[in-house]
Amino acid sequence: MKIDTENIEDRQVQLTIEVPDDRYKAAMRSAARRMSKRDKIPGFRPGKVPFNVAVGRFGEDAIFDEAIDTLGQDVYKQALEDSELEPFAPGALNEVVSRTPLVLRYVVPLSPEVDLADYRKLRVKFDPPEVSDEALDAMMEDLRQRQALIEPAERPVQMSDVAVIDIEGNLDEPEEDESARVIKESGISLLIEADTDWPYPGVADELIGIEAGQSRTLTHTFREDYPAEELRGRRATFEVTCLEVKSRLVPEWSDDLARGIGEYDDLLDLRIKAREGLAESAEREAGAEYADEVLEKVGESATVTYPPMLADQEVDDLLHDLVHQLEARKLTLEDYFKAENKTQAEVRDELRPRAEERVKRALILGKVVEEEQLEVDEEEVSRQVRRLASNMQDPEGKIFKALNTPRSRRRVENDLLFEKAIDRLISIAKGENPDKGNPEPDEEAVESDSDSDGT
Amino acid sequence: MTHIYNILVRPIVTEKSAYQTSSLGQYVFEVAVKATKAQIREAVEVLFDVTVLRVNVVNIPAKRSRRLRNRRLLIRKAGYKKAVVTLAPGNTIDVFEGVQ
Repeated sequence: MKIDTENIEDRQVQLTIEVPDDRYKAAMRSAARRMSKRDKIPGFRPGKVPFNVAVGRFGEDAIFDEAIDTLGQDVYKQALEDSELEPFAPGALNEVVSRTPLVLRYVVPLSPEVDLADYRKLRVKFDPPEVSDEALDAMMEDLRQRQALIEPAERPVQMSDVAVIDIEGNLDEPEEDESARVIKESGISLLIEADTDWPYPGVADELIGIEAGQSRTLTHTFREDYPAEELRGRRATFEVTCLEVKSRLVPEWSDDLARGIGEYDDLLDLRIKAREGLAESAEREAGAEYADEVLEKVGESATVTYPPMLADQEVDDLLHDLVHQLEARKLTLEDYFKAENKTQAEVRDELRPRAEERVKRALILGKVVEEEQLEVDEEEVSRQVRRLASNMQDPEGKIFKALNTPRSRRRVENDLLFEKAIDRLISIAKGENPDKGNPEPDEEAVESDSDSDGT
Repeated sequence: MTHIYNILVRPIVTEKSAYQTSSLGQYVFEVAVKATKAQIREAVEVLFDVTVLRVNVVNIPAKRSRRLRNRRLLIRKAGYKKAVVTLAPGNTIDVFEGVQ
């Protein structure tokens, strides 16, 4: 057996194998026998057909295909042993170069290669987020509005009241086979404010002064930028009947009100806590953005080569996710293709860039874990599993069991490693220049994390 | 109208005939019922350009059977004449060999 190996791009090796003639012949014969056992030939007992008759009957190509199925695998296995390659995943028969002598060509994917370049020298500027007073004021105002006292009132509707109404809206000139009805609701509460935009902007002005028991007929031409496309520029008539008027009393800020909202000492305390909350969520957002940016920078300077098969698998995964999403909406993949008017190949092509990006990221993070000698021990995994389970309001129940299988534990471990890698990259990018390996401060962070969760 | 082209009907390829062909140099044909040994010899020699040593002929009787479900229905399978032609060593007829 003659084997040529040749490195081709994207971490793949091309194996060209010349199979000895006698092996090829033997494989052909056994393939013919197998086929004649499967498909009977009149005049012969199954499996007793002479080779030449079988060839005449099935055709040489069919027998060849059958023979390659088994011979190809054997040859491939042997070739791998002889050439001492370490495939990352099973190789695939690429082409049959010639039949006499039999020459097969395989493409074997090798493990991906990641060169992170000088990722330790990477610095990215981090802008700590700031909470503006406007944002805080808006939040406080929102909070105050929600504390409004709503009471039935015996008077015509005024601004900032709540009207309970029946409403029915019909298009003036409906097209054929189109339902004229725009809306029909009864007993709904409508907040009469200047910026009320349901069913259309400006409705509040037209309803001012309506009393309980009264009806009004409104006509409205939808503007050209109305969200619902089919309504743009159409005229509709609305029948509105007011059932009840409620006054809304928005309280002024006071220490008492602050105490009523939650466990706050006074108004100032509330303001401080609200600011903290805003700052925290802003920080989280900024942190995620920053991590994204850092990862991108690392990705730019790093060279990652991997067999295209990996990206294919990722595309499969994405497609699989898509199927799940569709299932939630009671759709099948075929429906989706039809709705989007695309073929499966087109959708796959669209998913491909995203898949490649994901593969690249995962490989880079994996490399960072390796380079930085990051580790996750069993205990951390257990803790994370418990946390995940309790997040889903199922402490130690079914979800916990599902998460605690060896397979999902491994996945959790991977996630944790990746998280650590991201943290490490961030601290590198911030110029903190951490040591390799699992540093002590990291442990502490985990401890304090679990503490805060316990409360 | 006995003509050499009307003598041989079809080659018979079965497990038995395959054995005869490969080990004994014998070729089996279905032939016209009226054909004689001499006619068969001439036909094979002319058509396949070989030397025939011996011709054995056997009449395969017609067979009939009844359907299992419908006892009345009679199935008839026609009889035919079979010829086993022995060729001189080294001679072959390609029709039997299939694709080499």
